[in-house]
Amino acid sequence: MNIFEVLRRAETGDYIKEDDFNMKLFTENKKLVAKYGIRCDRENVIVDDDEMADNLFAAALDLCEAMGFLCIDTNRVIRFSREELLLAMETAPKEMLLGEGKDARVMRARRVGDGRKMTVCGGCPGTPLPEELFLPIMMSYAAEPLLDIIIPGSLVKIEGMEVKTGGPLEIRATRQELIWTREAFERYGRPGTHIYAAGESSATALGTLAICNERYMRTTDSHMIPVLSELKTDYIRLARVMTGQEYPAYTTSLMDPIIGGFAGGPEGAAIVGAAAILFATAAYGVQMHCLHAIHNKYVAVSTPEGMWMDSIIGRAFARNAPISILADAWTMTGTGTDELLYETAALAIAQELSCLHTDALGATNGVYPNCSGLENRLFAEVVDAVFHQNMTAARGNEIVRALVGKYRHSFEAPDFGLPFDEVYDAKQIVPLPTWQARYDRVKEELFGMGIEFRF
Amino acid sequence: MSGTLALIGASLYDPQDKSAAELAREALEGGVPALDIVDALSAGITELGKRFEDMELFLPDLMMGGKAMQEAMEVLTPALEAQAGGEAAQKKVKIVVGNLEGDIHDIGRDILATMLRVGGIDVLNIGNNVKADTFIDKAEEMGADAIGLSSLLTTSLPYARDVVGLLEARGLTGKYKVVVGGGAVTKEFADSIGALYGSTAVSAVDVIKEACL
Repeated sequence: MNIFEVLRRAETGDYIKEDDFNMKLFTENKKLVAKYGIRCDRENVIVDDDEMADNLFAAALDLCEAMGFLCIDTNRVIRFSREELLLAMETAPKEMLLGEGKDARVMRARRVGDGRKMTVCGGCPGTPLPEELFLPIMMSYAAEPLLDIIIPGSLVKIEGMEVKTGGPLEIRATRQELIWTREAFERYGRPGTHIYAAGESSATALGTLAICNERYMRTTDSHMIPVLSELKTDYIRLARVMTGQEYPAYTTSLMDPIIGGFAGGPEGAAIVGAAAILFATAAYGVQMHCLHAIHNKYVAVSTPEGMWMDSIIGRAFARNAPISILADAWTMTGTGTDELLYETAALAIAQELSCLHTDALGATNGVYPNCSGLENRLFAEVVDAVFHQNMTAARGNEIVRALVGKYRHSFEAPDFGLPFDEVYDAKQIVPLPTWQARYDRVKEELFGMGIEFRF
Repeated sequence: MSGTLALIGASLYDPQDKSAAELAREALEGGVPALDIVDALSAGITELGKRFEDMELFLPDLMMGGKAMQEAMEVLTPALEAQAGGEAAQKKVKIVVGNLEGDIHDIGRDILATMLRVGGIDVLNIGNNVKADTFIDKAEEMGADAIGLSSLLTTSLPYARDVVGLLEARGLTGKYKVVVGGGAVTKEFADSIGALYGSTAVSAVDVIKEACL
C-alpha cells in the first residue's frame, strides 16, 4: 500500500482515545489467547508445534482486524483488511542483497526446513557508546568475518556535548556513527558491508533525514522504523517511512511487544508482535523486521518468555507468510562475564532454530557500553554449529534449558561486566588475555554440552 | 482477617460483582473500623503487585486495581479523618511525573504512576515529551514535593540534566526532590546530576517516600 493511502487513513479512520485503545487491546487479546489455545512453554522455548504456530498467525490476523493501527497524533485508526495485509506479506521481498560488491550478503525470508542458515548481524544495538571508543568497538565487530552485516551503537556525545533527542547534535551523531562504522569496515577490508538500522541515535525524523546521502547511509544499507507499543504509530514514524521510501534505502521495522504490558503475558505479546509485523509490512512497506521481546521485569530477550515469544513468531511467519525477521538478542549481563556467553549461546540456538535472523547482542540490555566483538563471534559460531550439525528443536531445547540454568541468577542480580577497553586492547583490537581465556573456557564447556563448533 | 475484609482486598486483583469502593462502603456502614478496611486494601494491593511481578496479572490489571484502591480510599477518607479526631491528616507526598522531552515510551511511566498512587502518593502524570521547564511549572502549580523524570531513550536523558539546571536557574534548587528512572537510566547517571534513582517502579515508591517524608 502506498504511503499516501496510509496517511489518508490516518486522517480519516475511526476515532478512539489512546487509553481506550489500550484497554480494548487487552480485552481482545485475552479472548484470542483463549480462542486459539496459545500456551507458552517456558521449559521448551524453541517452538516446533506447527498447529500452535499457525494458530498464532490466525490470531494475529484477527487482532489486526479487531484493532487496526492507531496513529496517536490523530487518534484515528488506520484500518487494513485481511486481504490487504496478506497481499502486503505476499509482495514483500523474500530475498535481498544487503551491502555492496564482495561484501554483500543475501538475506532470505526463512522457511521451516529450508536448509538455510540465518544471516548474522553483529554489533551493539541501542547501546550508548562513548566518542573515544566508538571506532575501536566498531572495529572489533568488523574484525569478525562471521558477522554478515553490522549494526552500530549510539553516540551519546559529540565534542563532549550530550546528544539530545530532536536537537542539532542528532544530525551530527547519526552521521558520525556511519562515518566511523564505514571506516571500521574499510580498515578490515570489507567496505561494502551492510549497515543495519543506520541512524541509531535518531529518535526523530531528523537523524533519518540527515543520513540519506551516499556519504552516510547507502541505498544498500537500512534504517529502522519502530512500531510504537502496542500497535501504534505517529507522524514521526510515518515521516521516516516517507523519507526512506523516497531515498530509497532498505527499511526494517522494530516492534517491542511488552510481556506483561497491555498485550498480556508472553502468549498475548506473541500475538501482538505478529500483528505488528503485519501492520508494519502494510503501513511502512518495510522489507524486514526487527523483533524485540521486552520482559516487563527484566527487559532481556534471554528470558524463557522472550525466547519463546520470538520463536513462535518466527515459526508462524516461516510457515504462513515468510519474510525476513531479525530478533534482537539483548542480555542481562555484560562483556567479560561467563553469563554473557551463556546468554549468547542460548539466544543463538533459539533464534537459529526458530527461522529467525539475529539483530546482534545488546549486552546489559543496551544500558552500558560493556560490549565487544568476541561475544558476537561466539554467537555466530554457535549459529554455524547448530546449522551444520542439524540440531533438532528438541536437542536445542535441552541445551537452552541447561544454559538458562547457568545464567538464571542474573535476572535478579546481573553482572554488568566491564567496558570495552577493559576487555580488549583498544589499539590492536584484540581481546585481552583474561577475556580470551574466559571465552575459550566457556566455549569448551559449550562443546561438552553438545555444540559441535567447526571453528 | 474476616471474610468481608478478605473480599475487599481480593477485589483489587480478582474483580467481584461489587467494586472495592462499594464493598468498603458496605463494610463501613456495617460497623467495620475504617483502619481495618485500609489494612485489607493494603494487603490486596500488595498481592496485586506480587501477581504483576510474577506475571500472573498484567499492566491493565495493575491499573484497574490501583484505580479501585483509590476509589475505595475516597470512600474511607471522611471516616479516617473523623477517627483521627479532627487532627490534620498525615502528610501526603505529591509528585509530578512525566517522560523527558523526545521520549514517548509511556508504559513504564504508567506503571510508575500506578505504583505511586497505590503507595498513597498524589501523582500528577503529565505525559510524554515534556519540556524541562514544564516539569518545574507543573510542580509549582501542584505544590509538589518531588519531580519524577522517566526515559527509555538515552538521547532524552540530557533533558534530565536540564531540569536540574533550570531548578538552579530559577532559584528552586532543593525545593523538589528529583527522581530519575526508566530503561536508559543508570544509578551513575542519577548520581551525576544529583538526582535520586529508581531502578524499578516498585523501588521508586520507597525512594520517593523516604526522601519526602
